[in-house]
Amino acid sequence: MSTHPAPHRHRTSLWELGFALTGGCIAWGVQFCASFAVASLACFDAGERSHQAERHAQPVILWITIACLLVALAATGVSWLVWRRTREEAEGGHRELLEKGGGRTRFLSLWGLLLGLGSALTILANLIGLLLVPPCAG
Amino acid sequence: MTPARSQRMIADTPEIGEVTQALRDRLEAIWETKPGFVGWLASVDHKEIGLRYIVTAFLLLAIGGVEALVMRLQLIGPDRHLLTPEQYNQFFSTHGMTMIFLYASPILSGFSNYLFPLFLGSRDMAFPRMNALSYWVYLASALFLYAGFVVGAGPNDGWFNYVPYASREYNPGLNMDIYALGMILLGISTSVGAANFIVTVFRCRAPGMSINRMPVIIWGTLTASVANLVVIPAVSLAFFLLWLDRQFGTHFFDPAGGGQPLLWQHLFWMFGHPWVYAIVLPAMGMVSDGLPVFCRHPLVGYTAVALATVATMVLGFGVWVHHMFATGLPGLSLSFFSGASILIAIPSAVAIFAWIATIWLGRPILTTAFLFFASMILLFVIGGVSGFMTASVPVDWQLTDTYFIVAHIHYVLIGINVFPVVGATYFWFPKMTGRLMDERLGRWNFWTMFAGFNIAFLPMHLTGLMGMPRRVYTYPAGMGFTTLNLITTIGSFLFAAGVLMFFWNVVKSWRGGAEAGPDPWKGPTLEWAIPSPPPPYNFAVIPTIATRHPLWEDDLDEGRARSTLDRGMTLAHGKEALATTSLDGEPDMILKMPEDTLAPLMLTLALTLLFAAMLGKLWWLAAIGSGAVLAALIFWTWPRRQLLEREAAVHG
Repeated sequence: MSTHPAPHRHRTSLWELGFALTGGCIAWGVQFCASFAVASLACFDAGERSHQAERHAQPVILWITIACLLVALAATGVSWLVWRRTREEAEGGHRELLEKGGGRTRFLSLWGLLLGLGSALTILANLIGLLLVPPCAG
Repeated sequence: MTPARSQRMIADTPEIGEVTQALRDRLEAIWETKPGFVGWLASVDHKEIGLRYIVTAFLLLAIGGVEALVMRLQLIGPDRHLLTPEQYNQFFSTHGMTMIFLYASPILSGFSNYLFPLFLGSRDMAFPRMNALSYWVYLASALFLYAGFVVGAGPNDGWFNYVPYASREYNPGLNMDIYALGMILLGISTSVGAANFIVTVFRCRAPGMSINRMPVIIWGTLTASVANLVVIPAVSLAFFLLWLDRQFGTHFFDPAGGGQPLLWQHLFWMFGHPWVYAIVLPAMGMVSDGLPVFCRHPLVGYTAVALATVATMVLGFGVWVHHMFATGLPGLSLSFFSGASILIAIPSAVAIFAWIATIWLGRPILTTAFLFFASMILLFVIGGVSGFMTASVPVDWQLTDTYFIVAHIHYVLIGINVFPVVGATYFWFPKMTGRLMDERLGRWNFWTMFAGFNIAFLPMHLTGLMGMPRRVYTYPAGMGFTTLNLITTIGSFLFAAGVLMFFWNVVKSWRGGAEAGPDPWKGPTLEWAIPSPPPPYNFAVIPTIATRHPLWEDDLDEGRARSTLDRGMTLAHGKEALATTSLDGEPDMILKMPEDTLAPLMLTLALTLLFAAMLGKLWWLAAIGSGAVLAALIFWTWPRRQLLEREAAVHG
């Protein structure tokens, strides 16, 4: 086993790893901010608060959600591919990695996997609000 | 990293050697701070700056604590008039300002400043002069903010300072102007410090310390620093716009002029909630790194805990509106923030389970530091659960602006900041001073603080649930609040007695505590490999790291690789430090570090003059202040030959 902290670093690129790590979080951030803006704006009619949302708001939020969900899933997928290529980077399997963090590249690919998946679930959680909450209540 | 890049060597190949007395003497002469008052003022040594941060922040904790005790005396019974309503407004606002802005974050900066290079195997922070600047500006802003309170013009609209109460129409004195300008000044300090931490983490680690081998406290401070850089512009802008509204008649927050009062709340809480995480994540890191030492067991789930730290901060950017659930924003919008505020419990819980598992699997030694770290887990759960409750919009509507929220924030800020910080003091005090703190007094200190805190703040949840609103200066008899408030006041005085014991223990142990030696706790990380207190240069040779626990490698037997601590780069041709690559910690460049200088202090004085002139609208003085700032910057950045880095070259 190499003494370098990341002997498998050449099996991926910084761009690939960067997308794997940040893609899901950025997708959630975009979905979150855009949905908040659209949902809020829809309840104002010429600057006056309305309790009836504009009709186009929910489909727009839905499409934003789907697009961002796909990006988050793509980041998860890329992380999975990097993980497959680097999982032998250090001694022990994924449990060893969770405990000790050995192998820098596979460490980051596992982070990407969990962040991507977590972001996708968080994006999906926002759908619950879209389905259940009256848009302009309150 | 490309093969060509990985083969890059340092042009002026550094000498490799072992630790000798001659080397230590040479480094001591290069790195030591000059004696005398001017030398003290000019010091850029991270340990000196870290200690100044810690002492100043603890001093402000004591001042904020006295303010709290005065308020508790006011509330000990119904219809009391120790304070007038106006005085009470200033007391609770200044108490919040002090504890949240002037204690909770700077104390963590102090510990991180002191410990970062020691954890990372470095000779200093990446930007020592900026480090000094961040401290001096912090001190200046604390004095600036308190100047108002001393003359009866302290902030009086709560620490989050809502408009329109903060507008000139309802608040015509200087109170809000001092608060606004002081907070902008403090923002400079925090931003400068945050940038320094980030660059230090990514560039000043020992060779071999890849990012998956960093202590968790490094992850906590790094994450908090990134958050600070992102969100401080929002609050600085908010305070600047408020100052313009008040002094120049603009209408950013004035609906009569087309402004939006809610804009203040958005800008403030975009900063405010990530700030809450910024003042707990490094403290959680202290527990993650300290607790395993006393359990004689590595932290369970290191990878998950480090990731949870980052994930908490990421989600923390999406929860700010949960402070605004009662403002009438549309329901669907609120649901997104409610969801994020509920989901953030998941990464927080990861750390909690990891700590519990570490205690469960280890062989705990019940030192005072362990008691503070372990008790934090319980307090975190209580504060976390009450926070989780207010993530629900309907529940929040019932609880907002009641004492329930006051109880929650104190469980978070005292439970997840003060308790770990006091534990960290017991843990790292021997490293800082070479002396152990008194364990017997420490146990009295812990149990008094723990009992006092819970007696004070656990019943406060009930006070809130019964409907007592926060920020009222008194209450009539017969409301059902009297007994609970009496208990809270008794508890808060008990807690204060515990804090007093802590301060006494620090003073007593500093003067005559038992000799600690370099590694009294048998710790796993690099700071325990050097003498206590550390010499000015920290490490006589730059260590090379092979695992996350360089000092536990033989005990853990995790693999064949071993760290090298007593042989490495000597870097003794002047004030030199090693820069390494961001991800894998490969040697990259030799940095020429700056000598001690008065430039940071001069810039701070110039900035303070400028802000004081702006407060008084003395434009001629503001012009002088601006000129002084410019002059200080020119003095600071004037090219110096000795600061040229040696260029890297490619070797075959």
